[in-house]
Amino acid sequence: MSKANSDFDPVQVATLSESAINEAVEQALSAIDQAKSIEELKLVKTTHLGDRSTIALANREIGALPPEAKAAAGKRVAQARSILNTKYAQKEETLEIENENQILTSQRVDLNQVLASPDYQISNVGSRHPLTQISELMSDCFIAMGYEIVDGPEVEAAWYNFDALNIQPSHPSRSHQDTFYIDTPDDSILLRTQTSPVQMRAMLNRDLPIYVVAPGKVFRKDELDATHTPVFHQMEGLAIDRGLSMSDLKGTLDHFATAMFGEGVVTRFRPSFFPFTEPSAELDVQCFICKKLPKDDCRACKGTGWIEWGGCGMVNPKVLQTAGIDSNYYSGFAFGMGLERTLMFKYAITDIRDMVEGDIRFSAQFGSVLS
Amino acid sequence: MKVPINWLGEFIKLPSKITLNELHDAFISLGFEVEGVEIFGDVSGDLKVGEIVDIKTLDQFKKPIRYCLVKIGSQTRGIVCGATNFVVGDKVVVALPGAILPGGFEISARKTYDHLSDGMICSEKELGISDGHEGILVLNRSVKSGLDAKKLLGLGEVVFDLAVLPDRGYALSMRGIAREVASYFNIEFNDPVKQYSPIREKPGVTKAKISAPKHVSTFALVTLTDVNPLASTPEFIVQRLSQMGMRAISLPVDITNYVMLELGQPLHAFDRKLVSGSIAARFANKGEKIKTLDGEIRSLKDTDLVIADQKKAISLAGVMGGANTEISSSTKEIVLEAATFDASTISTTARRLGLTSEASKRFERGVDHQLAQIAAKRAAELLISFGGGRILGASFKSKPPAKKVITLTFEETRQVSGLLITNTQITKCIAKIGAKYTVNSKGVRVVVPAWRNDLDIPNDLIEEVLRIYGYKHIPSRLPQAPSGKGLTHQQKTNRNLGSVLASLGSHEVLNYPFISSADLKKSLIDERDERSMLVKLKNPLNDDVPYLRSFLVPGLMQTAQRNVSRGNFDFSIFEIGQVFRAHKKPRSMPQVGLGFAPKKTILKEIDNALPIAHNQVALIGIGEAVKSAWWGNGVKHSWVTITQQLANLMGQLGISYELNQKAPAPWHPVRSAEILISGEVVGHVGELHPKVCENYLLSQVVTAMEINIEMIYAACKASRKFKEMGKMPFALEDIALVVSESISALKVQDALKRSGGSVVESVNLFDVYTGSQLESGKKSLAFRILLRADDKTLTAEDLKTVRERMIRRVRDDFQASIRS
Repeated sequence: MSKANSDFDPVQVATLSESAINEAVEQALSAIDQAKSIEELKLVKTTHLGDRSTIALANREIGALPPEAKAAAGKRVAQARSILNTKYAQKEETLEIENENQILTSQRVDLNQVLASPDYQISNVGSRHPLTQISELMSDCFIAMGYEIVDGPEVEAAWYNFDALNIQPSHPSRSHQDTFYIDTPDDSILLRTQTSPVQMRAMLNRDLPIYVVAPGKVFRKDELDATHTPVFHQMEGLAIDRGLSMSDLKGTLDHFATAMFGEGVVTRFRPSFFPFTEPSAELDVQCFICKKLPKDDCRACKGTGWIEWGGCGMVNPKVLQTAGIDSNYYSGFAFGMGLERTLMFKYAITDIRDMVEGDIRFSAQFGSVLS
Repeated sequence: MKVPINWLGEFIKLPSKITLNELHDAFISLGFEVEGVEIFGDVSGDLKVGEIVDIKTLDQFKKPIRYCLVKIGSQTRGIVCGATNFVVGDKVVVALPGAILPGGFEISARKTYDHLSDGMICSEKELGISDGHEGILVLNRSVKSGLDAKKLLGLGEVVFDLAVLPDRGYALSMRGIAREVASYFNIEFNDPVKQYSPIREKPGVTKAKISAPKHVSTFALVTLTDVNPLASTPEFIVQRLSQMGMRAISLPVDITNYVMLELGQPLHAFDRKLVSGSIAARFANKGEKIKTLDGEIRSLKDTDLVIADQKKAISLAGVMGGANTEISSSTKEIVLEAATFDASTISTTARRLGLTSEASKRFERGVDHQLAQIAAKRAAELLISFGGGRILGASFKSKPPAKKVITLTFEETRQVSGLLITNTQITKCIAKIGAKYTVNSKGVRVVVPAWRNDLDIPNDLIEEVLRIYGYKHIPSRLPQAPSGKGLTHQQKTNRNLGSVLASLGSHEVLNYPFISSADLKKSLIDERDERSMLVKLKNPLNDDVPYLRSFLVPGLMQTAQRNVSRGNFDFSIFEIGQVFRAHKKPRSMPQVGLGFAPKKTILKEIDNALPIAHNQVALIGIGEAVKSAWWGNGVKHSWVTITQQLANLMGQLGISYELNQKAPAPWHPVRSAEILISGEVVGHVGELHPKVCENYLLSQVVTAMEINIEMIYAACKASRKFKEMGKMPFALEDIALVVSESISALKVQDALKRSGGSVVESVNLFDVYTGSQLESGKKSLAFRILLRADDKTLTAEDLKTVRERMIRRVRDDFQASIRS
């Protein structure tokens, strides 16, 4: 290295020549370009930008130049360093991105592999029985109309289940073939055969007017088969107010049917008979599966075009009297429908046994988000 | 109830262009569910009556084959037939070539069994008019050969199958249905009762006597003599009985059935030779027995009505005749009986004996008391005209019920029905049901027709107005209910329970509440346990499970077993439902009247007499809670997972609780605990006793919890307190302690938390170690403690102080040493 001297000696400071610097820059750029990894690039940095690199040496030589040459040489060296630093930074970034990409690529997994073990769960999702869900769905519809939910005992007094509802002692439904009785001498306690006793309980215990629905479990002595189960579910509705008529009943059930089965559902009333309502009606819903053209093979309506959904009517004045309600001032309507049935035709389920056997594959299908 | 439309034509004139759909709609609108519409004998082409003139047996074949010559009018045809139940001279139905029988079976002349068979001799089954397999249909010999058999047998006629509601006895007859159809189509109804005359008393023969006047309102007997016992039933009667699903038996029996179908009055025919003296309608004597026509011997009660001669019961009144006076092929003298019996008495007898008949079906629903006299006469006349003979005498006793009158106001009719209907229209509807009535400005005074014993109160008539005017005209109007309060706390809690348990990975099931005493044994429940106070059913569906469940685990175990057997191995299921327990001393149910509200004390007494019932929730787990698979090891259901599920459930519901490690059956003796809320046991949690699992054929660990829901309602209502979340930086400290194995980890955790003071945000046990590196009887518990102050960053000095404080406490309380 030459000392600062008074005489400009171009030979001594050859490293500072324009061509020498240019050449060094070219070499450095090419080396940066060719670096394949961060490690190689770092090596390039040591060689071409490090303490012993041509540029570094050149920089140090500037001090040895006569003042008039210093400016030009300084500028040249600075320019060269700037070019190389920029290039280096760019290359470094590129390589880092490449490097990160490479690491990410190496982390590749197959998400579909998870779907290949559908039943093997790390975090289990349970379900609520679709009957519970449809019961809540139906209840919520009435809650929105201002009704309240009431419930009663499943083991019930025969008086509530039959007598108070104007069901005569000789009525066939009371027989031991049809109704489960608790082992008492007088057959005074039974498994309720309908949710209607809750009606009577509501009328005896609540202030007028009354607007309630009672979903619940009921029991009838049927052997379990594809369409019968000895334990099933109903929802009973009851409204007692001044001036209620069959047309209020129709309006309420129309509204309910729309909420359950969607806009445009068609309902019809047919004359029927229930001891606790007079007049009584059967509520049919037009089959939404085969709709306009009833088909004989339609599972839901069996080709009739209509699905029987429930029974209803005006509360029999005799029943009102037993509830201590003056039928001259108050009238009321009641209705009831089966939850299993509702679920069956809403989801085209053909075998009721699926609902009672507790096979988790059944409930799991419905999850917790029935709508 | 089968309704041949042709038969209706005797009483009404249906519009000529009426379609099946219109009839169908009419029946639906009138309240008769259409269960089917059949074409009776759906045939086409030529079917004629033929006379068998010669039979040649072809015996070279494997089965008996006969070649018959059949004379049809002036033609004679040769027909091959495999049946053997007819002889020369018999009249049969022949389907001529070109005819099509039900099922699209086309008849052609073809060579078979070496003979040309030029048509087919038909059986009832082939004609599609019955399922009988009794060979060829042999007609009455008086039928002329060559007649159109379709017309004769009513083939191709429409028969509606209607469901008749239980209060409409009158509709179990052509008379009743015809009146209904007339009202719908607004056409005239010719009441047969107005055309037929009643029987008049003609003394001197078998007398009628009513010995149970409250239960038998009319009783008519007609005695006939010189009836030809071999007379056969005319084809039109055979055909109509057949269309209504009944088989012809003998002329007298067929006629009683025919009149019953026509008018709705059941009748019975006795062989007078077998009857001793006068005939009474009375209650059976205690211990009395009767062999009914079906061959069964029936033991009677003194609540069963019988028809009896002076020596014996000869018929189970209103249900079935007795074998001892049955009509036979030698019967020449006949006593016809028509009576009106009390509906519920007949129903009780029929039900008790499990014996329903066409007669009992009608009496149960109520029979018009005016019919007995008319039907008896009608039957006698038919019998005479087809079987010869004459009426020897008639005896008639009657105490008709008082006429019922209902006053119906126009106002209430509109109010209850919701119909927009005029006074005149209301009156018209009343007229159409066949009632006599008077009208004033306010309403109608209606005399209830004798056949309508279902009409009792104004609402009954309003239903009639609705029905006749048409339910389809009821306007739809949504009433405005007052605002409700939404779900009660209990209802919300029940829903929340279900949602939380589902979110914890459990599937809800709804089991039957029936269990057996074996379930108690399988669950290791002894008789001192109150869960053994089972409520028993008098008439279970299955004698193996005669009790109601007192807890939910047995049902869940069975369902779990079913799932495992179906290939579901790893799961958790839960149920929310009522459980039942019998009172220690049986309580009697009070007698409660009707027509007025019972006193509150009576209502209370009713509820107290019911078995003890409450809602319970239970959950069980089996297999792996977290599955082992290619991602690594899973976690099996165990006391850890079930206790955590409980903790999560309680946490979500906001309930504070404690566990007391105690072991009632069916839980594992040392891996289960009582769940306590405010010191009260509300349920149990843990692993089940291995024996219990084995008893339910589950060969692995089953976890379970069962909680009395009624006991948690109050606890989850206690309002939650919101705790500010610290915002300052946190610090973590781990402390590993060695304590005696008997020390409860929860107590140590609690001591750490309390001694650490307000800066301790959480303390979690993260490792437990027992083994060779420790003294025996010792365990190491490692806790991770997260610390955070409310108002500052904790310094190293602060942390040291807290740590020392905690260590000192557990050293003092549990003789814990620090594990390094």
